[in-house]
Amino acid sequence: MASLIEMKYGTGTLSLNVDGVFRVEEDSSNAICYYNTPGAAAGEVWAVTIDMSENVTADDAAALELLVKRAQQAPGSKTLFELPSNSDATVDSMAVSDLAYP
Amino acid sequence: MANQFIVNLSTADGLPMKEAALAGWDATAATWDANGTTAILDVTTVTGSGSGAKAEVEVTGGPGSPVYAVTITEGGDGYKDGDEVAILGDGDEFSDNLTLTLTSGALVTPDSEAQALVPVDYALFVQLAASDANEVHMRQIQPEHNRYWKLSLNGGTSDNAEAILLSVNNTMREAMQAPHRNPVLVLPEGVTCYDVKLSS
Repeated sequence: MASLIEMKYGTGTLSLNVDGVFRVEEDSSNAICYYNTPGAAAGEVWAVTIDMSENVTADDAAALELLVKRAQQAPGSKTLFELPSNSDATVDSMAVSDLAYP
Repeated sequence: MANQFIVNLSTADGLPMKEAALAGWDATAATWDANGTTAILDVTTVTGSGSGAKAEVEVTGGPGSPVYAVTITEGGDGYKDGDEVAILGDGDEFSDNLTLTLTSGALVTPDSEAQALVPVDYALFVQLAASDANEVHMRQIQPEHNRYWKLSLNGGTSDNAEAILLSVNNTMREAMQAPHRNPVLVLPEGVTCYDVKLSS
């Protein structure tokens, strides 16, 4: 069963399947989850960029990576992620792209 | 065991118009003003309950034998076979009305099935494709492939966009967490799904 991270969105939460995520980084105030899945271009992997309503810090990304690791050890979990730097932040959008290994 | 959810497909609330050139307009009530291409004009509903479609009209031929070539630029939603629609000229290229009785060929082609199964085995997340919420994507990744399941909806608006997205998200999540069941997507009132396709 999938390991899901939940993020606040409107009156509910949106889910992100984090199975296969091996690293989370902060980039341009967004969180980027890197997946252990080959991307379309050689040497790249698929990644999901999470754009939040507030800036994501490096510490926020580290906290998300820790949460992802815990979720992956609890199949079927759905864990709420709030930015440590601002727990009111909501998710604006998520996008898939292929990126070089960070 | 497959993880998936069920989407009931329906055209009961109508369909968008195809975003393409659309022939067959009755121009007997239209008045030529100048050759050229109009600004984007509203497609108004004479009979039926469709709304939101827009079009541009290329006017050629001159005052003696004007030709009006209509291209639908936004499909709107809620249109049905037999509805009558009109385009009111803005007085630059033409004035008065072009009218058309819609046939099924003027509308997007819905899925012929009554239900669609949406696998969630590789699903990542769901997102709206546009602010009008008439298209929801469920993204999935596989090695070297980045695809999405496209749910084409009728009745989505900016007002119910959040509710639509949450309903799809929650059904996807339930399917992921309950591999022995096939949850059924329940969309907000007045919203129907007429097509589901794997897209890239």
